[in-house]
Amino acid sequence: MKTLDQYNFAGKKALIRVDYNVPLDNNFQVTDDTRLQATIPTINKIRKDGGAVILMSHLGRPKSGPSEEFSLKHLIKYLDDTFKTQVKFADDCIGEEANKLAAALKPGDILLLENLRFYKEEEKGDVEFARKLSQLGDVYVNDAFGTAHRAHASTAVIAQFFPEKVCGYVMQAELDNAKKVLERADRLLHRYYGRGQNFR
Amino acid sequence: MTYTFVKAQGGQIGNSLVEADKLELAKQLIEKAKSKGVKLLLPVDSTVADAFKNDAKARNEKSSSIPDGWMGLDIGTQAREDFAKVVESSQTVLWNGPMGVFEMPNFAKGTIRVAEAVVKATENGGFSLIGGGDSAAAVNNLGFGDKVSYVSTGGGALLEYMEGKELPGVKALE
Repeated sequence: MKTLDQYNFAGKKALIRVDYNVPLDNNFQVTDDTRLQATIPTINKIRKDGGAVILMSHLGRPKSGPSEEFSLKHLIKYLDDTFKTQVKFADDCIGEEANKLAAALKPGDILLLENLRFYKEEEKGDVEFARKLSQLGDVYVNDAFGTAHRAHASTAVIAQFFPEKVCGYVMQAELDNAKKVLERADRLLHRYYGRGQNFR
Repeated sequence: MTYTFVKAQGGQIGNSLVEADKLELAKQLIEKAKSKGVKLLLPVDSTVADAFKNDAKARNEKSSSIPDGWMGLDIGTQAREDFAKVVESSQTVLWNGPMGVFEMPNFAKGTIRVAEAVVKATENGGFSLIGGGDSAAAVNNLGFGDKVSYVSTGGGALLEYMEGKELPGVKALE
C-alpha cells in the first residue's frame, strides 16, 4: 500500500475520499469539526507538492436525491477559511459541470463535490457511477476510515479505475493505532501463556 | 447494552433500554466469556430515573432489581469505582460507547469517571484508543482529547477491523 509520503502529487489532480459526515446545527454551522480538521495534513501535503485537490464525501443519510439539508455546500465557507483559498464547488458530483470544474483546476486549487449519497448508486457500489467519478482525477486517495468497512462506489469500487492508489494520513494513522491495540493485546496473551509454561 | 445482558441473566430491568432480539446472543457471550476465562464486567448498580430527561427523579439501584417505571441511565456509584479500578490498571484500553446518557449532565458521572480512568491509564504508560462518535465526543467535550493515545474517527470501521475483518476501503488501496 502506497502512503502519502511515497507519492509526489506535482501536476496531478488527486481525487480524495474524505469523511465530512459532520454534525450541523439548524443554521448549517459545523458543531464538531474533528473530521474536517483531521484531513488538513493530507490536503496540505498534496497542495504543497503542486497538486490539485478534489474532495468527495457523503453527509448524513439523504433518502431521495438532492436536498438542502444534506448539501455539502454548507462546508464551503469552513473550507475557504481553513485553507485560505476560494474552494470551488460542483453541485452535482458527476456530470458535465463537475468534469469542467475538475479539468480547470490549477496546482493548489481545491474542488468540493456535492454529497455522493444524493445518488443511490454510491451505497450500492455501482461500477458505472464509480467510473464517472474516477474521470475527475488522476490519482485516488482514500482518507475516510469511518466508511472503510463499506464497499461503496467511492470507498472501494472506484479504486479499480486508478493505476495509482494512495493511503491518506488519516487512514494511515487509524490503521497504525488500531494495529497497536491488537499487537499489545497479543503480547499480553503471550505473556500469560509464557508464565503458564514455566509453571508446568 | 448493559440491560440486555442483565435481563438475559434473569434480572429485573424495569423500563430500561433492552434489545429483546439479542437476549440469546447476550447469553451466549456470557457463556463464551466464562469458558475462556475472560472477565466480563457488568455494572453491579445503576443510576435509575423515572423519565428520560435530565431533571427526572433519580436514585441508585442494583442493576438486576430495577422497579417498573424506572430506567437505568448511567452506571451506579459502585460500578463507577469498579470500572475505574480496572481501567486505571490496564496497559491497553479500547473504549467504544459512553457509560450512560452523558449528554444529560445528571447522567454523565459514569462516563466522566471512566474517561478520567482512561487518562490515568495513559499517564501510567498505557495505550488508549477511543472509537465511535459518542465516546469520541464525550472525551473531546471533557477536554481529554489530548490526554488519551488516539481518538479514532471511525466507529463501525474500527470495530470491524478489531474483529479481524478485511476492510474493503483498505483492501482497495493494495
